[in-house]
Parts: sequence; C-alpha cells; structure tokens
Amino acid sequence: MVDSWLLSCTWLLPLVSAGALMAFPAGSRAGVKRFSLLANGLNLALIVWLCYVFFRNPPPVVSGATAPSLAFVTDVAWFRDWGIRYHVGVDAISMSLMLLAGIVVFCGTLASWNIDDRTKEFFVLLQVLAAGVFGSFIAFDLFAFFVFNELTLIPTYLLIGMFGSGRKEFAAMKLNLMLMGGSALILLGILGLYIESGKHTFDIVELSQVHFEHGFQMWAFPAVFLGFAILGNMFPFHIWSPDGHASAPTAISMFLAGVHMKLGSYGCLRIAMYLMPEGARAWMDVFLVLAASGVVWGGIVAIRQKDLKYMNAYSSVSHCGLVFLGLAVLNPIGLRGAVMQMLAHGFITAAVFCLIGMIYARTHTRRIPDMGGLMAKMPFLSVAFIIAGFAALGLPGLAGFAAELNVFLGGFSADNPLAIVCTAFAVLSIVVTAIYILRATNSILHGPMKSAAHGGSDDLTDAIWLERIPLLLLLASIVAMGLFPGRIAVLIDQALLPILNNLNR
Amino acid sequence: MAALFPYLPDLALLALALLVLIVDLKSEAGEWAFHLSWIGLAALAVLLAAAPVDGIVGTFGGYAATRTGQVWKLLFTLAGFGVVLLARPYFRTGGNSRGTLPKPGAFFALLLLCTQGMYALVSATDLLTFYLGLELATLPIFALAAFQPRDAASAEAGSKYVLMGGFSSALTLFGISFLYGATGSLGFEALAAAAREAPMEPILWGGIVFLLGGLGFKLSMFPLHMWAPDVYEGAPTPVMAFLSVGSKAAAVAAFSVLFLGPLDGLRPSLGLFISIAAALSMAAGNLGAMRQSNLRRFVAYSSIAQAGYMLVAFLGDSITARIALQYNLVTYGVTSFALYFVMGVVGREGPETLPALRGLSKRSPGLAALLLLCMFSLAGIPPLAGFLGKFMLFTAAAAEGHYVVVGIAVANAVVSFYYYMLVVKEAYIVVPDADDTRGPIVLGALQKAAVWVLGALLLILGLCPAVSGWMLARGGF
Repeated sequence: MVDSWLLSCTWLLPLVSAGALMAFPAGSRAGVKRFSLLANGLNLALIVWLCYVFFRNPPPVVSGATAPSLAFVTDVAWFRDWGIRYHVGVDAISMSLMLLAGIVVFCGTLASWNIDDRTKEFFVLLQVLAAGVFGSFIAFDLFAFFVFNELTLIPTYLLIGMFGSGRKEFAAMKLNLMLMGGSALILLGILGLYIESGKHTFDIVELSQVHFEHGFQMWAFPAVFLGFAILGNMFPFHIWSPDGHASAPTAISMFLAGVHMKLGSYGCLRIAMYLMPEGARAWMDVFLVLAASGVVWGGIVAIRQKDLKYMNAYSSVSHCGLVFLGLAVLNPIGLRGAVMQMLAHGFITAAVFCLIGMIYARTHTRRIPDMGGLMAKMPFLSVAFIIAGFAALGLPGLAGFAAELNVFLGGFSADNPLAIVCTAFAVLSIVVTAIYILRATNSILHGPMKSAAHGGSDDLTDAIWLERIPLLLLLASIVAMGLFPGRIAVLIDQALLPILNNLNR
Repeated sequence: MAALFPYLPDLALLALALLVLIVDLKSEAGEWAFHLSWIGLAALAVLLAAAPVDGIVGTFGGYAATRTGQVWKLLFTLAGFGVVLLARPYFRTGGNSRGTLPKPGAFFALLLLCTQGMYALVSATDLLTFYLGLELATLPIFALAAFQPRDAASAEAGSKYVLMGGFSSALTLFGISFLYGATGSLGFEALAAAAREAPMEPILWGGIVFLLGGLGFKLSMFPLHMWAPDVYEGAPTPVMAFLSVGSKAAAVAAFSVLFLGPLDGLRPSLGLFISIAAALSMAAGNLGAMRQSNLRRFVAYSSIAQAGYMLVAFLGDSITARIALQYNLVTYGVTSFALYFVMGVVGREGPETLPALRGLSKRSPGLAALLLLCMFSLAGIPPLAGFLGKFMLFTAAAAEGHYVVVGIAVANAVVSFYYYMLVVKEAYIVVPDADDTRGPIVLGALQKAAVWVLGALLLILGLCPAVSGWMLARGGF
C-alpha cells in the first residue's frame, strides 16, 4: 500500500519540485541546480528502491493470462462520470523503463550544470518534462496516459526554443507540430477504444479483455500505432527528430532521445498492439518494411553527417528502427528484443549526447572534420566515447548487442517470409553503424590536433568529477545490461506474456 | 408571489440593470455603477448556483425557468461578471493606450441588459420569446462596439455589427415565419410535434435554413464569420471579450435551445451540414489566425475556429452534447478572460500586437506564464482547461460514430497549435530589439491575485472533476 503511493511519487516529486523551484529568486543559479539535483537524486533513489522491491518479488504471471500482472497499483476514480480513473502500476517493462528514465534525468541534471542563463526556467521545465514521462510509463488508464504524455509538449517546445542552438525555433516548432499530429491520431484512437468497447472505461487492463470489432481495429490500429510511431522515431516519420535533437541543449537531447522517444515505442506495444491485436496482425507487414528501411536509411544518412549531434540523431533513427522491427515480427523473441533495445538505446544515446555536449563545451565545435587528436588531451572523455560508440555498434558484452541479437533472432525465426527478408536487410545496418561510429571515433579522437579549428583554445581539459558521475553511471548501466542481459530478459518475457497471448488470440 | 420564485434571477437582473442606470444619473464617476454591477452579478451567480432545482420549474407564458436554463444563465452571468471586472481599467485615464472609455454607467447597464436578453433566450418556450431574447442580447452590442470615442475603427466595428446583425436578425425572423407557417403555432411543443410527424416538410426546412443563417452569424460560423475580425479589432477590448465569450455562449445556447430541444429529431438529417460547417469554420479560423499580428484580430480568428469545434458537439446525443458545450464554454471563457487580462496589461503602453509581447517573459514572468497557459489551453493541450473542454466536445460526436469529423477537428487542433505557439514564441523566445527600453511590468496586488486565480482555474478546470460533475448533476437528464 505504501509502495503504491510511492510509485505516484515518482511523477509527483519532479512536479512538486518544479513548483518549489518557481519560488526561488530570479537570479539564483547554484541553489536552483542543487535543489534540482537533490530532487532528481531522491527520485532516482526512490525508483531504484521500487525496482529492488519489484525485481526481488515480481508479481506472478499466469501463463494463459491476457491481463497484465501489475505491482504497486493505485486505482481511484478521477472523472467518475466519464469512467476516467487514475490507475497506475508497473510491470517489468514499465519498471525497467522507469529506471532508464530516472538515471537519464539524474545524469541530465548533472550535465546541465553549465546552464547559466535563465537557470530557473530551465530546471522548472526539465522537471515538468520528467514528470510527464514518469507518469506516462506508469499510467494504465488511457486518459491519464494521454494527459501525462501531452504534459511533455509544453516544456519540450520551450526548452528547445529558449535554450537550444542553431535553428532552434524552427526545430522546436517542427518537433512539436509532428508530435501534436501524432497525439491527434492517438486521441482519435483512444476515443474510439473508449466508445467501441461499450464498457465506459479508459482502463487499459479492462480494455485488454475486450474484443474489438475487426472493422474498427482496421482503422484504429494504424492510427494509434502511427501516432506513437511518430514519437517513437519510425522512418519516414522521424524527420522531426534530427533537427529537434541536434538543436536541443545537452540534457534535453539526452532525455528526448533516450527516454521520451521510448514513450512512443512503449505506446505502440502497450496500447496499439496489446489492445488491437487483429489490427496489428493485419497491418504489421507495412510497418515491418518501414522499420527495416529505417534501420538502414538512418545508418546511411548518419555516415553523411558532419555534425556529431546530427550523426547521433540519425543513428537513433536506425536504432529505433530496430525497436520497431522487433515489435513488427510479432513473436516472443522479437518483442523481447524490442523492449531490450528500447533500454539499450536509451542508455547508449543518452551517454553519446552527454559526451557530445561535454566535448562541444571544450572544442566549441561539433563538426567532425574540425576535431582531431582529442584522446591526447582528454583521455577520460575519449575512452567513454569509445565505449558508448562500441555499445552503439553492438559489441558483445555491452547493452546494444544483447538487444540487437534478440531482434535479429526474432526476425529470422518468424513464420512470415517478409519478416525474414526485412531482417536480412536490416542486418546490413551492423556494417553501416560500424562505418560511421569508427570513422567518427577515428577522426575526432586520433590523428593530429586541429587546434586552429577549436576556436584557438589549446587548453582542452579532461572531464571534471561533476561530469564523470553521469558518464560513469550511464556507462555502468550499459556494461551491466551487456554482461547480465538474462536476468532482465526473463522478467521482460513474463511481462510480454499477456501481450503475446492477446496477439495470438 | 410564490409562482414568481423560479424567475427570481431574471427579475433580479432586470432590477440590477435599472438600478445601475438610475445610479448613473446621480453620479457621473461610475464607481457606483461598477461596484453595483460586479457585486450584483456575483450575487446572482451564487443564487443561480445554489437555488433549489428539485421540482420547481415554472412556466409563465412563453417564458419558463428550467434546470438546463439555469446552468446557461449561470454561464452568462459569469461571462458578464468577467467582463465587468476586465472593463474597469478602461474607464480610467491611462488605463489603455487607445484612450479612456466614457460613461461607465451606460456601459454596464447595456452589458446587463444584454445578459437579460440571453436569459430570455434560454427561458423561451416559444419562438417569439426566443426571438426577443436574441434581439435583446444583440442590440446593446451595436452601441457597445462603437463605445470608443473618436475612434474610427470602433465606429466601423459598430456600424459593421449593426448592418450584419440587422441582416441576421431579418434572416432569423424570416426563418421563424416559415416555421410558423409549417406548424401554425409559435410554441416549441408544436414545433417538436411537427418535426416528429413530418420531418421532411419543405416549409419546415425552409425555416431551418434561414434560422441556421441567422444564428450562424452570431456564432461566427463559416461562411458568416467575415464580420468577426473587423468588429473584434475595432471594438474596445472589454466589448471584444463580451462578444467572444458572452455573445458566443448565447449563440451556442440559441443553437442548443432549438436543435437540442424541439428540433432534436431533425439533427440526423442535419449531420452532413453540421459536419461541413464545423470543418470549414475550423479551417477558416485556423488559417486566418496564422497571419495576424494584431492580437484582437488573432482572437477573432481563433474564436471562429473555436465555434467550429463547438459545432462538432452538435453531432452528439442531445444531453451529452449540451453538457460538453456548457463545459467547453466555461473552459473557453476562463482561458479567454485570462488572455484578455494579459492583453489589457500590455495594452496600457501601446497597441495590442504580437510584437508588443516580445520579451514579456523577462518583463513580467507571471504574465508570461499566464499567457503560456492560455495558449496551450486554447490549443487544447492537457492538463489545461481547454483540453478537457475539447475532449468532451469530441467525445460527444465520436460516441455517435462521427469519427471522420472528430478526426478533422483534432487535425485542426494541430494546425491551431502552430499559431498559438507563435504567441508563446514572442513572449519567451524572441529576443527584444536593442532599442527596446521598456522596463519590467509592475503589477498591482489585485492584478497579481488575478494572475494566480486565472492560472489556477486553468489547471483546476482541466484536472478537477468537480465542475463537470456538478454540471452533469444539474442538467444531465
């Protein structure tokens, strides 16, 4: 009982701290940063504690069940007359994504220590953004989910617009309009689910027991799936993400690419595929092709990028394509791979964006050709960059490998011949990823120093301890997930069982 | 005497309007008129919200006090209350860059009479009372729109509203005469019977077409929306506020009194018309708003789009639709008042334009935050009030299977997001010019309180089920 309210605290804490931050005096910088760090540290501790309780004693799963087994459930009426409830809980999928979000928010706070203009506004918005994402991952009521999901829009627009770089206004508007478009599709689908169920409820658990009419699923599934796929960065609806992520300040890039985008793939799985399995089976060939194209396309475009942030943003398109590929093969291994890829990509891309931010703060450039020989001057950052890069290209022993392996195995073991063809095509991305990662690493870390291009600053310093903490935390997560993928895979398998049972019904 | 009890709010409002006029004869300053108006309207709102409703439904000629009517009256009263509070600075020297408004007594009395007309509109049980109410709700605005002295734009707004309003009244009256011809009676009961028994009667439909034209003008429904930008731009800001909140609410009420009432049976045949009108109103409003730099024109186009969203609900079942419309009007009203409040403060020092908002986040963080909430609320982003209003409108239509129209509406909400964000961009992102020497905006204690109250309302109405639950309990049958 106590634990269930603690779960709600994971989004209340950031929100309340945002309110408290507003009371800080306008010029306050250090105080604001320390307070945010304290709040996000507490929240991370809370999430780790919940994870510990959860993973030590996960809720039992019945093998034929179609309803999810949730822990820490709170279920109270909200808008009684409309059948809207505040229903939160976690299964292994949401719990592990919560952990990802908690770590990335904490690291992002530390990575934002150099924000000195309008510091208060920055951290208030960051906290609201975090609250929205935490709430979305635990919500099991469609209305509550939608509200939390949309709560992220307001801060995202302002954070990119006010604190970004480059064509920030354009990027913020593009990102928000695309995501709003996705939300519009989701809202339409949610209303449809509410009405067609005839049960007067938005509850995901209850709706998962309803069999929706085939005709309804045929239009509502693509609407909801597409709505979430826009947020989840699926090719060709990814066009907002490179601009958005490249323009955002470091912590926001980390958060948007690492966590916020996962909300999209999570929604695809939890809402679209789970509640409308017939639609999923009927439409998946389309999404299979799009996912595989995205995997390869993102990689090829990443090769062509000169800007490190754009390179990583396109790399995200490729890696998120793998998530969708895993989802689209519709078998247990593929889905497991998809969820693991969400986590792996979350950690890896957050680490890479964090590193790019720190390198940029020293070299004042993000252009790959303008940098070189950084290894000699900042060994810590360089080694971290290499580890994160190798994780991205799927080196065994690091997070990316276990996830990608499952996605590809799932694809090749599918009954659908198209899935095998698409997977075979997507496997090409291993080579493509290796090309751009190794090229970038080689170019910026090795070779001669290009001090003239670094804005004349020869005094490149290595990371200070404040910067090492987030990097070490993210890299430790990557290594831990790479070395012990089995423990988490078992739990994810259990959580996927109801979804698979619905899909095979 | 007891028979008059249900009509107490109506009579009290009439007394209040007359009292304000009389007081105005005695004192020119207008302080009394102001205090009488806002206190009177507040008391009236309390009376309407608290008055017993069980079983007491009076009927008095063509005028009935009903539960549904009571909720509508409450909305009109609150709209009037908001306008009165908003209008106060405009009568003071330096309160607005366009100049001081004269004759506060006359202004408030006209406002109250207008509200009286709206009361009559929703109390009507025959077409004659309905028409009289509609006229009384429109005529004072002719004068109010032209209230700014020696201002060409205001005069233009007044004359434009007279011409278009006269035209629409004529259309309405013409429509009513057709309906009379079709049913042989002015009563709503006869009308309902005729709609039930001979729903395809050509004369009946002739009447409905003209009625839709006349009422569509008031609602600024496409293609009868052309007047709105000019009138909104020219009229003084408080009058614009009344037009876009009070008058819009009255127009929606007029539509629901007829089409969710006696003509309910005809709505299935009107589905296509409503869908097209809604879609075009939304599109016209949203496309028009994108290019505006004058905030009052901007508001006008945005309100045209909002009218479109509200039309969507008319595709729903009559009770769900009415509750959705009423709730949406509350959220829209609060959001609008918050926006007009910000515009009023900005309007003290210069014209109310988009560039005037530049750097607002630094000059007054509180005002900027309120503006931000308003824009996201108007765009329908949760957890703000506007989202819940739109959500209910769309649910009402979707419940009857009108997914295509709902799809068009949510797509329009995405389009509208673009221009609402342009306002946010001016306030938060665009860096002011180097020669912009305007210092911080100083807010008085009352203004600070208004910022907090309006901001809190925007969140409460979006998150708290109490208000919608109350409406459902009051009028949900």
